[in-house]
Formats: sequence, structure tokens, C-alpha cells
Amino acid sequence: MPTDLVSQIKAAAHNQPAWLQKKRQLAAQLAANFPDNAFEQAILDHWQSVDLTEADDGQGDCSTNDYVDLPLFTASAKYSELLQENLMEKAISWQDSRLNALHMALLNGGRFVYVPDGKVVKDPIELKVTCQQSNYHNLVIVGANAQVTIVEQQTGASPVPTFFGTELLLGDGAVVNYYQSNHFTAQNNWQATRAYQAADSQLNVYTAFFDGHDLYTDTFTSLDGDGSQADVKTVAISNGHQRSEVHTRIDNHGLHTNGMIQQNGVALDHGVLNFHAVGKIYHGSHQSNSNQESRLLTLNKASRGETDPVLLIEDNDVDAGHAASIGKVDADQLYYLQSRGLTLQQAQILLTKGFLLPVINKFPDSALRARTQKELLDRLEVAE
Amino acid sequence: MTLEVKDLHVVVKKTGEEILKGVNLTIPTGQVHAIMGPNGNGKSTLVSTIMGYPAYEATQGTVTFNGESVLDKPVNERAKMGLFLGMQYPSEIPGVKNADFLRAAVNATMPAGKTMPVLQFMQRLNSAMELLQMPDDITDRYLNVGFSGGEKKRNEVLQMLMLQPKLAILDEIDSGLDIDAMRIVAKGINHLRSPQFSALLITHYERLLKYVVPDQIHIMVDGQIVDNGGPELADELEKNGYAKYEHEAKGDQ
Repeated sequence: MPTDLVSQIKAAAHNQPAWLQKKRQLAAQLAANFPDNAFEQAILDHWQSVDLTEADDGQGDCSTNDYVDLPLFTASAKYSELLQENLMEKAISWQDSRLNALHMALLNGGRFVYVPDGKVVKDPIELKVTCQQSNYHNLVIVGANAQVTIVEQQTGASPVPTFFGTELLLGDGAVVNYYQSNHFTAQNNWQATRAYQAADSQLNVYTAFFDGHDLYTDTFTSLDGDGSQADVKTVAISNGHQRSEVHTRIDNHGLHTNGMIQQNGVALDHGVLNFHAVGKIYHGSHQSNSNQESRLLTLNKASRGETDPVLLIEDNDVDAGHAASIGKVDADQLYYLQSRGLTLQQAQILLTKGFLLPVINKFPDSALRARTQKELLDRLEVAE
Repeated sequence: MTLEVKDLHVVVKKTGEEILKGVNLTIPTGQVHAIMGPNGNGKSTLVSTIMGYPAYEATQGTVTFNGESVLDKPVNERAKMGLFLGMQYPSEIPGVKNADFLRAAVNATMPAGKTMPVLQFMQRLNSAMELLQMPDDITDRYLNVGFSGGEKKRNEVLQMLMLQPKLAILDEIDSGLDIDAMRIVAKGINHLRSPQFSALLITHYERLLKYVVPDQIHIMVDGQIVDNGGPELADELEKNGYAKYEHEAKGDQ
């Protein structure tokens, strides 16, 4: 496959900057060297023959006076140095796994957002695109002391498993609120959202995983600079025969860094929902905090879920804690709701809302909070 | 809309222990009845079976409402028939706001495909809360979570006023209430009294029956109705207690 693939990439990328052509070819060759991973393999099997001839450029050039918002491939020529230095280098590393390497090699498009130093962008920047192919990648660079809200809402329209990758690179003192809700068409998909944070930067991530297909999510941030903070809030649902693996990780490298993970999820029908949360405080990261809370609710006997809280602490001057729970709906609660006329399904919907809304209600932007609540209702197929 | 219980035998599913041993009871439309009796003699089992609590199983006999069989229906269908059970120990449901729950319940018991307009819902809710002297924030709180004993009972009566059932069964709605709270709860029940509404009160004290005067009182001992009478039966029980009935029940065995 690699030789054939390399020639395909050559053909598809011949208009792109030399560094990008070379990187994509190297990535294709590198991919062969990694061990197997079951969830990855199910996706990779479908990438044997892919269409690289079409790139999706989203909404075209959406730049304003305050920031740059361009199709990724356009940006790779226009901001060549910036992309060469940062594309899949600092957050989602193209050399980390076979999947990442092939994601790099097979890129179908994406967006590049650059907010210059000190800019405070008032209106949210929307990354909204219906993706016809399977490898989309957003690179968001927010300069020192800049502030911005990014709202990602992408739809994977391809029947081939889709990899959405988003990299968030925060300069010193940058403040970013990042919202995400994506939809897929393929049976199993991959969602990676990774961030790199410089000193005193602050990242708040709000994700709602309400899609109905198998999903592996990888939300990760590296608190590299002193005083950087990250707060990740996630809600997820798994139903039917869906399987969702939700991975969230915050690494504390800098001094007095602060990481917080909160995730609530509901599994129903035969759904499987697993929460894997890792907080790692590296040696020397004094006076840092790492806290995590994972709550799962399984609504019936056939639904399953696991929470897997991990704290890796190498420093002794830190504050770290985790809470995890897996609750079953008790029969008396269902009986009580049914005795008031609610069907089993209506009762389950009410309980699901009840379990997820407390996290959604912490989303600071009222319009986005309302939209997420609506997405939840749509997901639960209730018209109000 | 008459409730008829005939020769009802009920066992605990898990253990097979028989709790009800042939209960016969008729509550005609428009009447308020009370079942009294010492603790642990099957009063709650009877009303839980009528509503469909999954831990119990009827092994013999029938329950019909308006001529329709009740026992073979799912719990929510029973509510749609117009049955309501105010529970002795209502479940606490974190995350579900009282108001959202009331809305869902009201809509669930409307005829198929219909929902109650928001304005009408709010009007009904406001007047019910006023009647029960409940604080405004009670609807914003999670269902029964952190409610005091008295608040839970009032919240059961609030649900009854919202759903306006044809037959309300209230299981020890008076337990744990002080005299003022009991008056308020009684006011809620009396508010619904009409020729189209019937109620069954489960209690082992006669005090509630001073405020909600029943048409009939039934005495339940050891899984059977052992006596029936008018409201004066409550006064007699206040004087003499249940000793006479319990003695007779033991004598039978």
C-alpha cells in the first residue's frame, strides 16, 4: 500500500508547498511502522483506497480584520512558515501513531485560524463544515494575550470512517473557550482535540458527544507554561449498539498549573460508554492541581459503562483528586415516573436529561448552552 | 368510574410470602373511602398492587376500574386510566426539575397526541401551589431531592392536583405531618371532591379523617378487609384501637 499511496499523495499534493508534500509522503511511509490497535484498525481498514483528489475548503476565506480564518491548504501556502512549524507538531503529533501518520498523509482539508497577539475577538468563530471526505484537520493558533471563542460543529458526510482533528495552540496569557459537537455518517469515527498551552493561558473545552455512531474521542491538553489552566467539560450518550470510548487527559508540566476534567455520560439500550480520564503531574510541576470527575449512568441491564480514572503524580507539592461513579437507575425511580403516566422511554429521557443537564448548564455562553440542550433533545428524539 | 377489587391475593415476588389473602373492596365514583388498620397488615401492598409496583404479584382475584381490568396493564397505562397513587415514600430523582417532571406527567396523561398549553399549565400550577401554600422555588428544585418529609407529602398532593385523576389513592399522606400541614393537605384533597372524583385514603390515624370526612371506612387486618362502616367507625377505633380485630384474626388461624 505505501508505494501506491505515496504516488497518490504526490499527485494530490503537487500544488502544495514542498514541505507539506514531503511531510505527507513521509507520514505515509512512517505509518507502516506502528503496532496495531483494534479501534484504529477498524478505521484504517477503510482507508485502503481513498479519494485524495478533492479537498474541502469549508466556507472559503472567512478572515476578518481581527483574525485569519482560511482553508487549511490555502493557509499552507500563505502562512507557510507558521504551518510548517505547527501543523501536527505540537498537539496532535503526526509521528505518534499509525492513525495520526495516515491522517497527516491523507488530509482532505480543514481550517486554519490564527488570532494575532493581543486581539480580543468578541463574536465566536464558527468552524462549521460538512465534510465529504474522511480526514479533516483544524489548526487554531491563538497569540499571546488574545481571547477568542471557537465553536466547532462539523458533519462527517462520508460513509468511510472519519477522523476529525483539531489542534489548539495557546500563546502566553491566551484565553480560549472551545465548544464542539460533531456528527458522523460512518459506523465508527475518531475525534482528536488536542491543545498545547503556554504560560498563564486558559483553555475551557465544552464537548457534547451526542452522535449515534461508534466513536473514539481523544481530548488532551498539555499545560506546558507556568500558570496555565485547562477545564474540560464533556457530556456523552451511547445507545443502540453504539460503543464510545471517551479519552480525556491533562498533563501538568509547568509550575502552578491547574487541570480540571468533568464528564457525565449516559448509556442506554445495548450502548457501551467508557470514560478514560488521565491527569498527569510531571516532576517539578510544583503547586499544581489535577482534578477529575466522571459520572456514568446506565439506564438498563444491557447497557454498559466503565470509568477509568487515572492520576499519575510525580511531584509531591500538588493537589490532585478524582471522583468516579457508575450508577444504575433504580427500579423505584422508574416506577415512580411511570406511575405518573410516563412511558419507560419518556422516563429514561427525563433521567438522561437530568443526568447531563447539570454539566451542560455550566457552559458559559447562553446561546451555546441552549443549542446543546436542543441537540440533547434531538438526540433523544423528543420534540418540544 | 368504580374501582372494584375482588378476592385479591398478592404475594411478594421474591419470597413468595402471601400478604393479601382475599381482599374485596368497591369504591364507587364520587366517594371517598379510607382503609385503616395496624401497620404491616397489607394496606400499602394493596394500593401498590393496584398501581403496579413490580415487587408484588397478584396470584388470584381481579382489580377493575370502570369495568376495565387493571392488573394486566403497564404502570403508565394505569395512570392514563385516571388512577393516581400518592406514595408513602416518593423517590428522589436528582437532575430532574420538579416543574419539568410535572409538565411531562401532565402531558403523558393527556389524550394521545395532545399536550397542555404552557399558559394553562402555569395557571393550574400556580393555583395548586397557592392552595397548598408551597414556596415558589419548589418547582425549580430537583424532584423530591432534599425535600423535608412534609414537603414530599405536599408535593404528592401537588401532583394529584396537576394530574386531576379520576381516582386518587393516598398512602399515608398524613404521616409525619404536623397539624397545620395536615389541614393544608386535607384542603388539597377536598378541593378535588366532586361527583366525578373518588379517593382512597390509607391511614392508621383517625385525625386526617376529621378533615377529609370519608363516605366509608374499611378495616384491614392480616391481608383482609374485616369490617366496614361509616365515618363513626373512626371514633370507635380511637377509643378501642384494633385489638378486637387483631384478636379475631388470630382466632381464625
